[in-house]
Amino acid sequence: MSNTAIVDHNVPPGEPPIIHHMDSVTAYGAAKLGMWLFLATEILLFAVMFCSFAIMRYYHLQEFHDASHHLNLWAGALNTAILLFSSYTAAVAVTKAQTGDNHGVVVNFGISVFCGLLFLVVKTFEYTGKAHHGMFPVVWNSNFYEYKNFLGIYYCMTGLHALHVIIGMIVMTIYGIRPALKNRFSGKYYTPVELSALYWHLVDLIWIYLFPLLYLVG
Amino acid sequence: MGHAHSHSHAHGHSSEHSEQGHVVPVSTFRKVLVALLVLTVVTVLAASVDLGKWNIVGALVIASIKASLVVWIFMHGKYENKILWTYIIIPFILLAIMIGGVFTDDPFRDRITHFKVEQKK
Repeated sequence: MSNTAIVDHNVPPGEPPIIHHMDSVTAYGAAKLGMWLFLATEILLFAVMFCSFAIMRYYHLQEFHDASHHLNLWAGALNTAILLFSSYTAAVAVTKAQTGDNHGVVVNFGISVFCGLLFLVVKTFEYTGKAHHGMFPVVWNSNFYEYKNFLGIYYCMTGLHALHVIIGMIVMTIYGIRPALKNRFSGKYYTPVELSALYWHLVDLIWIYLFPLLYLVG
Repeated sequence: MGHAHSHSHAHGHSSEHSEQGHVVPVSTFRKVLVALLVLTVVTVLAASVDLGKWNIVGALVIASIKASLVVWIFMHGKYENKILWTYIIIPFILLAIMIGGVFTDDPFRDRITHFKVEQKK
């Protein structure tokens, strides 16, 4: 059956999969272009939310200013540092894959996934702290009715970002760590490592904007 | 397919250089990480000074510098071709059009309604 398969993954470790209709260098370029096209749609998904943040802030400037003081600045700063570091290890994982160091890929992507977990733990503490004080995104509890616009956009943006963190952790585990354990990558083939790392950098990129907008300037 | 040396997975001479993409040394990434962390501290410090509406401008400028560093080095943007850069730039142009469009429309709606009401009188 292998002669009819479009992509044949049954190759020795370090070799790129045999693709029926193109050579491996073309496949690498096409995959990366496809990934960036997907990242463009992701940026646009968040762009809609940044746009609504901007217009909401324009209309409710005082509310945004007051409400942002209720967020824990140090939790946000800690999460920023965690994500920046995890982005660094993801970038290092690509270099390791390119030089054929599969163990390095496992270690560096492992650190990135662990940092993602740490990020979510800090975020959970923040959410439960907010909920404890009655700061829900919806207004059945009237304690913080005056902050409803800010809290709505805060939960929306950070929630969608947290979902991306979870997806990124799964992607790095399935497409990076698992094949690297089988010595799958080499200077000839590291496409999945680079694409997973690109996704993780996007998660970091969005947080770089979310942190100052939500926690600092409101 | 498959030469014998392709089985040497760790530090084999066949994997010294990449035929496909650019290999960035780890030391470069380390410098960028330090720069990003320093810029984060600068962001927090800048926010503690009250500069009025310039606070958000400053925060966005620093965030954009950080984002550029991530795209340029971490995401290998420095080594990508023009076609890929088109893909990187277009969403930001669309974002600018969207925010620009909303702000030139929505805040002035009240005034337009007023104008029409006054004309009818």
